[in-house]
Amino acid sequence: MIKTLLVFDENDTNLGDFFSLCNEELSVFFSEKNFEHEIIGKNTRFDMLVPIRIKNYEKQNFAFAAFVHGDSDNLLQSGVDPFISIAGDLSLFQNSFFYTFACEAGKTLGLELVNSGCKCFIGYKEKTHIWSGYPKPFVNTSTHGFKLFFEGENTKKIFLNMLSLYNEEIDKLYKEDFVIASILMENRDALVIHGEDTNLSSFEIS
Amino acid sequence: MINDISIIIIEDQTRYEEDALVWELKDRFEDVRFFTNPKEALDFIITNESLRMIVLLDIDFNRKAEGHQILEEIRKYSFQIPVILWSGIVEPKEPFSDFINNKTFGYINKHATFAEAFKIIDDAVNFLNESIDKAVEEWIIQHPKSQMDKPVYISSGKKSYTLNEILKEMRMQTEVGKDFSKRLTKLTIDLLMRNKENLND
Repeated sequence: MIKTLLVFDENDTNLGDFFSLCNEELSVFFSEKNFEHEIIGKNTRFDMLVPIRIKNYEKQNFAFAAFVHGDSDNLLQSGVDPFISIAGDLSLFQNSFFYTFACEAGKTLGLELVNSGCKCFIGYKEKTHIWSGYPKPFVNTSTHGFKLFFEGENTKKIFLNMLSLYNEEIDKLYKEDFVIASILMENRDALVIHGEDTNLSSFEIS
Repeated sequence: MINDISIIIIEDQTRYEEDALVWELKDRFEDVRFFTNPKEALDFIITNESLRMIVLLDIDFNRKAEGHQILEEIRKYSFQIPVILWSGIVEPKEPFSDFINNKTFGYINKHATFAEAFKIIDDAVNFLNESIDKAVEEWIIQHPKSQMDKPVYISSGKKSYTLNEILKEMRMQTEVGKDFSKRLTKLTIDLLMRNKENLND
Protein backbone atom coordinates (compact mmCIF):
# COMPACT_ATOMS: atom_id res chain seq x y z
CA MET A 1 0.00 0.00 0.00
CA ILE A 2 1.22 3.50 -0.83
CA LYS A 3 2.12 6.02 1.85
CA THR A 4 -0.76 8.30 2.72
CA LEU A 5 -0.62 11.57 4.64
CA LEU A 6 -3.70 13.53 5.73
CA VAL A 7 -3.68 17.01 7.24
CA PHE A 8 -6.70 18.39 9.12
CA ASP A 9 -6.62 21.90 10.57
CA GLU A 10 -8.79 20.96 13.52
CA ASN A 11 -7.64 23.89 15.64
CA ASP A 12 -8.92 26.42 13.13
CA THR A 13 -11.42 28.83 14.72
CA ASN A 14 -13.91 28.81 11.86
CA LEU A 15 -13.64 25.48 10.11
CA GLY A 16 -11.92 23.31 12.76
CA ASP A 17 -15.13 21.43 13.61
CA PHE A 18 -15.83 20.75 9.94
CA PHE A 19 -12.28 19.52 9.34
CA SER A 20 -12.67 17.23 12.38
CA LEU A 21 -15.80 15.74 10.82
CA CYS A 22 -13.83 15.12 7.60
CA ASN A 23 -11.11 13.49 9.70
CA GLU A 24 -13.69 11.20 11.36
CA GLU A 25 -15.22 10.31 8.00
CA LEU A 26 -11.90 9.39 6.39
CA SER A 27 -10.56 7.66 9.51
CA VAL A 28 -13.60 5.36 9.55
CA PHE A 29 -13.08 4.67 5.84
CA PHE A 30 -9.37 3.90 6.24
CA SER A 31 -9.89 1.69 9.28
CA GLU A 32 -12.72 -0.25 7.59
CA LYS A 33 -10.50 -0.83 4.57
CA ASN A 34 -7.49 -1.47 6.76
CA PHE A 35 -5.41 1.09 4.86
CA GLU A 36 -2.35 2.50 6.57
CA HIS A 37 -2.23 6.26 6.79
CA GLU A 38 -0.70 9.06 8.81
CA ILE A 39 -2.64 12.03 10.17
CA ILE A 40 -1.40 15.48 11.11
CA GLY A 41 -4.09 17.24 13.09
CA LYS A 42 -4.26 19.19 16.32
CA ASN A 43 -1.58 21.09 18.17
CA THR A 44 1.26 20.96 15.71
CA ARG A 45 2.99 23.14 13.14
CA PHE A 46 2.17 21.98 9.65
CA ASP A 47 5.10 23.84 8.07
CA MET A 48 7.50 21.82 10.23
CA LEU A 49 5.84 18.42 10.23
CA VAL A 50 4.53 18.03 6.67
CA PRO A 51 7.98 18.23 4.97
CA ILE A 52 9.51 15.89 7.58
CA ARG A 53 6.84 13.25 6.97
CA ILE A 54 7.03 13.55 3.20
CA LYS A 55 10.84 13.36 3.12
CA ASN A 56 10.49 9.98 4.87
CA TYR A 57 8.65 8.72 1.80
CA GLU A 58 11.89 9.11 -0.17
CA LYS A 59 10.19 10.20 -3.39
CA GLN A 60 8.05 7.08 -3.60
CA ASN A 61 4.50 7.54 -4.85
CA PHE A 62 2.20 8.81 -2.12
CA ALA A 63 -1.24 10.28 -1.54
CA PHE A 64 -1.74 13.56 0.26
CA ALA A 65 -4.96 15.21 1.44
CA ALA A 66 -5.34 18.55 3.20
CA PHE A 67 -8.51 19.84 4.85
CA VAL A 68 -7.28 23.33 5.58
CA HIS A 69 -7.74 26.95 4.55
CA GLY A 70 -6.04 28.18 1.43
CA ASP A 71 -5.68 30.75 -1.28
CA SER A 72 -4.56 30.60 -4.88
CA ASP A 73 -0.86 30.24 -3.97
CA ASN A 74 -0.85 28.52 -0.59
CA LEU A 75 -2.29 26.02 1.82
CA LEU A 76 -2.63 27.76 5.17
CA GLN A 77 -2.65 26.72 8.79
CA SER A 78 -5.21 28.67 10.88
CA GLY A 79 -6.03 30.61 7.73
CA VAL A 80 -2.81 32.62 7.91
CA ASP A 81 0.39 30.56 7.99
CA PRO A 82 1.43 29.05 4.65
CA PHE A 83 2.78 25.52 4.91
CA ILE A 84 2.64 24.56 1.22
CA SER A 85 3.32 27.45 -1.10
CA ILE A 86 4.32 28.25 -4.65
CA ALA A 87 7.12 30.21 -2.99
CA GLY A 88 8.42 27.01 -1.37
CA ASP A 89 9.81 23.67 -2.57
CA LEU A 90 6.96 21.93 -4.37
CA SER A 91 9.24 19.15 -5.61
CA LEU A 92 8.47 17.49 -2.27
CA PHE A 93 5.18 16.50 -3.89
CA GLN A 94 6.76 14.68 -6.82
CA ASN A 95 4.91 11.42 -7.47
CA SER A 96 1.93 12.36 -5.34
CA PHE A 97 -1.83 12.35 -5.67
CA PHE A 98 -2.71 15.70 -4.09
CA TYR A 99 -6.27 16.27 -2.83
CA THR A 100 -7.51 19.33 -0.95
CA PHE A 101 -10.64 21.19 0.13
CA ALA A 102 -8.70 24.47 0.47
CA CYS A 103 -10.15 27.60 -1.13
CA GLU A 104 -8.75 28.58 -4.52
CA ALA A 105 -5.71 26.26 -4.31
CA GLY A 106 -6.69 24.83 -7.69
CA LYS A 107 -6.03 28.18 -9.35
CA THR A 108 -2.24 28.44 -9.15
CA LEU A 109 -0.88 26.09 -6.49
CA GLY A 110 -2.45 23.01 -8.11
CA LEU A 111 -0.93 23.83 -11.49
CA GLU A 112 2.48 24.55 -9.96
CA LEU A 113 2.37 21.27 -8.03
CA VAL A 114 1.75 19.38 -11.28
CA ASN A 115 4.54 21.36 -12.98
CA SER A 116 6.79 20.24 -10.13
CA GLY A 117 6.06 16.55 -10.61
CA CYS A 118 2.83 15.93 -8.69
CA LYS A 119 0.92 13.33 -10.74
CA CYS A 120 -2.57 14.60 -10.13
CA PHE A 121 -4.21 17.42 -8.20
CA ILE A 122 -7.90 17.59 -7.27
CA GLY A 123 -9.06 20.72 -5.48
CA TYR A 124 -11.09 23.90 -5.82
CA LYS A 125 -10.33 26.90 -8.00
CA GLU A 126 -12.66 29.34 -6.22
CA LYS A 127 -13.66 30.07 -2.62
CA THR A 128 -15.47 27.13 -1.04
CA HIS A 129 -18.10 27.42 1.68
CA ILE A 130 -19.86 25.15 4.09
CA TRP A 131 -23.12 25.42 6.07
CA SER A 132 -22.10 24.30 9.54
CA GLY A 133 -25.72 23.85 10.65
CA TYR A 134 -25.95 20.98 8.16
CA PRO A 135 -22.43 19.69 7.52
CA LYS A 136 -23.17 16.16 6.30
CA PRO A 137 -23.46 16.83 2.54
CA PHE A 138 -20.35 19.01 2.73
CA VAL A 139 -18.38 16.28 4.51
CA ASN A 140 -19.64 13.68 2.01
CA THR A 141 -18.76 15.69 -1.07
CA SER A 142 -15.40 16.93 0.16
CA THR A 143 -14.10 13.50 1.23
CA HIS A 144 -15.67 11.42 -1.56
CA GLY A 145 -12.89 11.78 -4.12
CA PHE A 146 -10.12 10.73 -1.78
CA LYS A 147 -12.05 7.59 -0.82
CA LEU A 148 -12.62 6.75 -4.48
CA PHE A 149 -8.88 6.92 -5.15
CA PHE A 150 -8.36 4.17 -2.57
CA GLU A 151 -11.14 2.17 -4.13
CA GLY A 152 -9.04 2.06 -7.28
CA GLU A 153 -10.90 4.61 -9.40
CA ASN A 154 -9.03 6.59 -12.06
CA THR A 155 -8.55 10.24 -11.15
CA LYS A 156 -10.54 11.66 -14.09
CA LYS A 157 -13.41 9.35 -13.20
CA ILE A 158 -13.05 10.42 -9.57
CA PHE A 159 -13.52 14.02 -10.67
CA LEU A 160 -16.68 13.15 -12.63
CA ASN A 161 -17.94 11.04 -9.75
CA MET A 162 -17.47 13.93 -7.36
CA LEU A 163 -19.55 16.15 -9.64
CA SER A 164 -22.27 13.47 -9.65
CA LEU A 165 -22.28 13.25 -5.86
CA TYR A 166 -22.59 17.04 -5.64
CA ASN A 167 -25.61 16.82 -7.95
CA GLU A 168 -27.18 14.06 -5.85
CA GLU A 169 -26.77 16.10 -2.67
CA ILE A 170 -28.11 19.25 -4.38
CA ASP A 171 -31.14 17.36 -5.69
CA LYS A 172 -31.92 15.95 -2.25
CA LEU A 173 -31.80 19.39 -0.69
CA TYR A 174 -32.99 22.09 -3.02
CA LYS A 175 -36.74 21.89 -2.43
CA GLU A 176 -36.44 22.52 1.32
CA ASP A 177 -33.01 24.06 1.82
CA PHE A 178 -32.30 25.86 -1.42
CA VAL A 179 -29.68 28.11 0.18
CA ILE A 180 -27.60 25.13 1.29
CA ALA A 181 -28.11 23.47 -2.10
CA SER A 182 -26.87 26.62 -3.84
CA ILE A 183 -23.69 26.62 -1.73
CA LEU A 184 -23.06 22.98 -2.66
CA MET A 185 -23.58 23.92 -6.30
CA GLU A 186 -20.99 26.66 -6.02
CA ASN A 187 -18.49 24.23 -4.46
CA ARG A 188 -19.23 21.77 -7.26
CA ASP A 189 -18.51 24.42 -9.87
CA ALA A 190 -15.22 25.32 -8.19
CA LEU A 191 -13.91 21.74 -8.38
CA VAL A 192 -10.87 21.31 -10.63
CA ILE A 193 -8.45 18.58 -11.66
CA HIS A 194 -4.89 19.03 -12.95
CA GLY A 195 -2.33 16.47 -14.10
CA GLU A 196 -2.56 12.98 -15.46
CA ASP A 197 -5.30 10.39 -15.33
CA THR A 198 -3.91 7.91 -12.85
CA ASN A 199 -5.01 5.45 -10.19
CA LEU A 200 -3.94 3.57 -7.10
CA SER A 201 -2.64 0.51 -8.97
CA SER A 202 -0.28 2.57 -11.12
CA PHE A 203 0.93 4.24 -7.89
CA GLU A 204 1.62 0.86 -6.32
CA ILE A 205 3.40 -0.61 -9.35
CA SER A 206 5.84 2.21 -10.14
CA MET B 1 -57.31 40.76 -0.58
CA ILE B 2 -53.53 40.60 -0.17
CA ASN B 3 -52.70 39.18 3.24
CA ASP B 4 -48.96 38.58 3.09
CA ILE B 5 -47.75 42.13 2.46
CA SER B 6 -48.17 45.00 4.94
CA ILE B 7 -48.56 48.59 3.85
CA ILE B 8 -46.80 51.07 6.13
CA ILE B 9 -47.84 54.69 5.60
CA ILE B 10 -45.64 57.33 7.23
CA GLU B 11 -47.42 60.69 7.09
CA ASP B 12 -47.61 63.28 9.86
CA GLN B 13 -51.00 64.71 8.93
CA THR B 14 -53.82 62.55 10.34
CA ARG B 15 -56.26 63.84 7.73
CA TYR B 16 -54.54 61.66 5.14
CA GLU B 17 -55.67 58.61 7.08
CA GLU B 18 -59.04 59.33 5.45
CA ASP B 19 -57.53 59.79 2.00
CA ALA B 20 -59.26 57.80 -0.72
CA LEU B 21 -55.98 56.03 -1.56
CA VAL B 22 -55.67 54.79 2.03
CA TRP B 23 -59.23 53.42 1.92
CA GLU B 24 -58.49 51.74 -1.37
CA LEU B 25 -55.32 50.23 0.09
CA LYS B 26 -57.35 48.93 3.06
CA ASP B 27 -59.71 47.35 0.58
CA ARG B 28 -56.89 45.56 -1.20
CA PHE B 29 -54.46 44.78 1.66
CA GLU B 30 -55.36 43.13 4.93
CA ASP B 31 -52.69 44.96 6.93
CA VAL B 32 -52.46 48.74 6.38
CA ARG B 33 -50.78 50.74 9.15
CA PHE B 34 -50.77 54.53 9.34
CA PHE B 35 -48.00 56.15 11.39
CA THR B 36 -47.90 59.87 12.12
CA ASN B 37 -44.76 59.44 14.21
CA PRO B 38 -41.77 58.44 12.04
CA LYS B 39 -39.86 56.99 15.00
CA GLU B 40 -42.73 54.63 15.80
CA ALA B 41 -42.84 53.64 12.14
CA LEU B 42 -39.10 52.91 12.08
CA ASP B 43 -39.36 50.88 15.29
CA PHE B 44 -42.20 48.89 13.75
CA ILE B 45 -40.23 48.23 10.55
CA ILE B 46 -37.10 47.15 12.39
CA THR B 47 -38.85 44.96 14.97
CA ASN B 48 -41.03 43.17 12.42
CA GLU B 49 -38.32 41.77 10.21
CA SER B 50 -40.41 38.76 9.18
CA LEU B 51 -43.14 40.94 7.62
CA ARG B 52 -43.01 41.73 3.94
CA MET B 53 -43.81 45.42 3.67
CA ILE B 54 -44.21 48.33 1.30
CA VAL B 55 -43.65 51.80 2.75
CA LEU B 56 -45.51 54.89 1.55
CA LEU B 57 -43.49 57.82 2.79
CA ASP B 58 -44.43 61.47 2.91
CA ILE B 59 -41.58 63.88 2.25
CA ASP B 60 -42.65 66.96 4.18
CA PHE B 61 -43.19 66.58 7.91
CA ASN B 62 -44.23 69.84 9.57
CA ARG B 63 -42.82 71.59 6.53
CA LYS B 64 -39.42 70.01 7.14
CA ALA B 65 -38.14 67.58 4.57
CA GLU B 66 -37.96 64.80 7.16
CA GLY B 67 -38.80 62.13 4.59
CA HIS B 68 -35.17 62.20 3.50
CA GLN B 69 -33.93 61.28 6.98
CA ILE B 70 -36.60 58.61 7.44
CA LEU B 71 -35.62 56.97 4.15
CA GLU B 72 -31.98 57.10 5.19
CA GLU B 73 -32.87 55.38 8.49
CA ILE B 74 -34.84 52.68 6.67
CA ARG B 75 -31.90 52.13 4.32
CA LYS B 76 -29.52 51.77 7.27
CA TYR B 77 -31.62 48.72 8.03
CA SER B 78 -32.55 47.39 4.60
CA PHE B 79 -32.49 48.06 0.88
CA GLN B 80 -35.02 45.27 0.36
CA ILE B 81 -38.14 47.21 1.45
CA PRO B 82 -39.83 49.07 -1.43
CA VAL B 83 -40.25 52.68 -0.28
CA ILE B 84 -42.68 54.75 -2.37
CA LEU B 85 -42.68 58.51 -1.90
CA TRP B 86 -46.23 59.77 -1.37
CA SER B 87 -46.23 63.50 -1.53
CA GLY B 88 -48.13 66.56 -2.65
CA ILE B 89 -45.08 68.73 -3.12
CA VAL B 90 -44.01 69.98 -6.50
CA GLU B 91 -41.24 67.67 -7.65
CA PRO B 92 -38.72 70.12 -9.19
CA LYS B 93 -38.47 72.08 -5.93
CA GLU B 94 -37.41 69.01 -4.03
CA PRO B 95 -33.78 67.77 -3.98
CA PHE B 96 -34.34 64.20 -5.16
CA SER B 97 -30.77 62.95 -5.57
CA ASP B 98 -30.59 61.23 -2.19
CA PHE B 99 -33.94 59.59 -2.86
CA ILE B 100 -32.40 58.11 -5.99
CA ASN B 101 -29.24 57.07 -4.15
CA ASN B 102 -31.28 55.47 -1.41
CA LYS B 103 -33.26 53.55 -3.98
CA THR B 104 -36.81 54.76 -3.59
CA PHE B 105 -39.14 52.45 -5.44
CA GLY B 106 -41.30 55.17 -6.99
CA TYR B 107 -43.21 58.39 -6.51
CA ILE B 108 -46.95 58.83 -6.12
CA ASN B 109 -48.35 62.33 -6.16
CA LYS B 110 -51.13 62.87 -3.63
CA HIS B 111 -53.31 63.99 -6.53
CA ALA B 112 -52.61 60.86 -8.56
CA THR B 113 -55.49 58.72 -9.82
CA PHE B 114 -55.91 55.18 -8.45
CA ALA B 115 -54.67 53.83 -11.76
CA GLU B 116 -51.47 55.89 -11.51
CA ALA B 117 -50.93 55.02 -7.85
CA PHE B 118 -51.61 51.29 -8.19
CA LYS B 119 -49.35 50.97 -11.18
CA ILE B 120 -46.48 51.69 -8.79
CA ILE B 121 -47.92 49.83 -5.78
CA ASP B 122 -48.58 46.71 -7.91
CA ASP B 123 -45.00 46.90 -9.18
CA ALA B 124 -43.82 46.93 -5.56
CA VAL B 125 -46.01 43.89 -4.80
CA ASN B 126 -44.50 42.08 -7.80
CA PHE B 127 -41.02 43.09 -6.68
CA LEU B 128 -41.64 41.47 -3.28
CA ASN B 129 -43.29 38.38 -4.73
CA GLU B 130 -40.53 37.81 -7.25
CA SER B 131 -37.57 38.83 -5.12
CA ILE B 132 -35.01 36.08 -4.63
CA ASP B 133 -33.52 38.04 -1.75
CA LYS B 134 -36.83 37.99 0.05
CA ALA B 135 -37.07 34.22 -0.43
CA VAL B 136 -33.65 33.82 1.18
CA GLU B 137 -34.65 36.17 4.02
CA GLU B 138 -37.78 34.12 4.66
CA TRP B 139 -35.74 30.91 4.64
CA ILE B 140 -33.36 32.41 7.20
CA ILE B 141 -36.06 33.83 9.45
CA GLN B 142 -37.80 30.48 9.76
CA HIS B 143 -34.79 29.16 11.71
CA PRO B 144 -35.16 29.04 15.51
CA LYS B 145 -34.03 32.25 17.26
CA SER B 146 -31.45 30.23 19.20
CA GLN B 147 -29.60 29.52 15.95
CA MET B 148 -29.51 33.08 14.65
CA ASP B 149 -26.23 34.09 16.26
CA LYS B 150 -24.24 30.94 15.62
CA PRO B 151 -21.76 30.96 12.72
CA VAL B 152 -23.26 28.80 9.98
CA TYR B 153 -21.93 30.01 6.67
CA ILE B 154 -18.20 29.44 6.71
CA SER B 155 -15.67 30.02 3.98
CA SER B 156 -12.49 28.05 3.60
CA GLY B 157 -11.15 31.51 2.82
CA LYS B 158 -11.33 32.23 6.56
CA LYS B 159 -14.62 34.10 7.12
CA SER B 160 -17.76 32.99 8.90
CA TYR B 161 -21.25 34.49 9.16
CA THR B 162 -24.21 33.94 11.49
CA LEU B 163 -27.78 33.92 10.14
CA ASN B 164 -28.29 37.43 11.54
CA GLU B 165 -25.12 38.61 9.82
CA ILE B 166 -26.25 37.08 6.52
CA LEU B 167 -29.60 38.88 6.86
CA LYS B 168 -27.77 42.16 7.40
CA GLU B 169 -25.47 41.56 4.43
CA MET B 170 -28.50 40.86 2.24
CA ARG B 171 -30.50 43.83 3.42
CA MET B 172 -27.56 46.15 2.90
CA GLN B 173 -26.89 44.55 -0.51
CA THR B 174 -23.18 43.98 0.18
CA GLU B 175 -21.18 41.65 -2.07
CA VAL B 176 -21.69 38.76 0.37
CA GLY B 177 -25.43 39.50 0.47
CA LYS B 178 -25.69 39.73 -3.30
CA ASP B 179 -23.82 36.41 -3.64
CA PHE B 180 -26.73 34.62 -1.97
CA SER B 181 -29.23 35.79 -4.57
CA LYS B 182 -26.79 35.26 -7.47
CA ARG B 183 -26.24 31.68 -6.30
CA LEU B 184 -29.97 31.02 -6.22
CA THR B 185 -30.37 32.32 -9.75
CA LYS B 186 -27.54 30.01 -10.83
CA LEU B 187 -29.12 27.10 -8.95
CA THR B 188 -32.42 27.68 -10.76
CA ILE B 189 -30.63 27.63 -14.11
CA ASP B 190 -28.66 24.55 -13.05
CA LEU B 191 -31.84 22.66 -12.10
CA LEU B 192 -33.48 23.63 -15.40
CA MET B 193 -30.41 22.58 -17.39
CA ARG B 194 -30.26 19.23 -15.63
CA ASN B 195 -34.03 18.75 -16.19
CA LYS B 196 -34.73 18.60 -12.47
CA GLU B 197 -37.29 21.37 -12.84
CA ASN B 198 -39.09 22.97 -15.73
CA LEU B 199 -40.47 26.44 -16.25
CA ASN B 200 -44.07 25.31 -15.74
CA ASP B 201 -43.38 24.08 -12.19
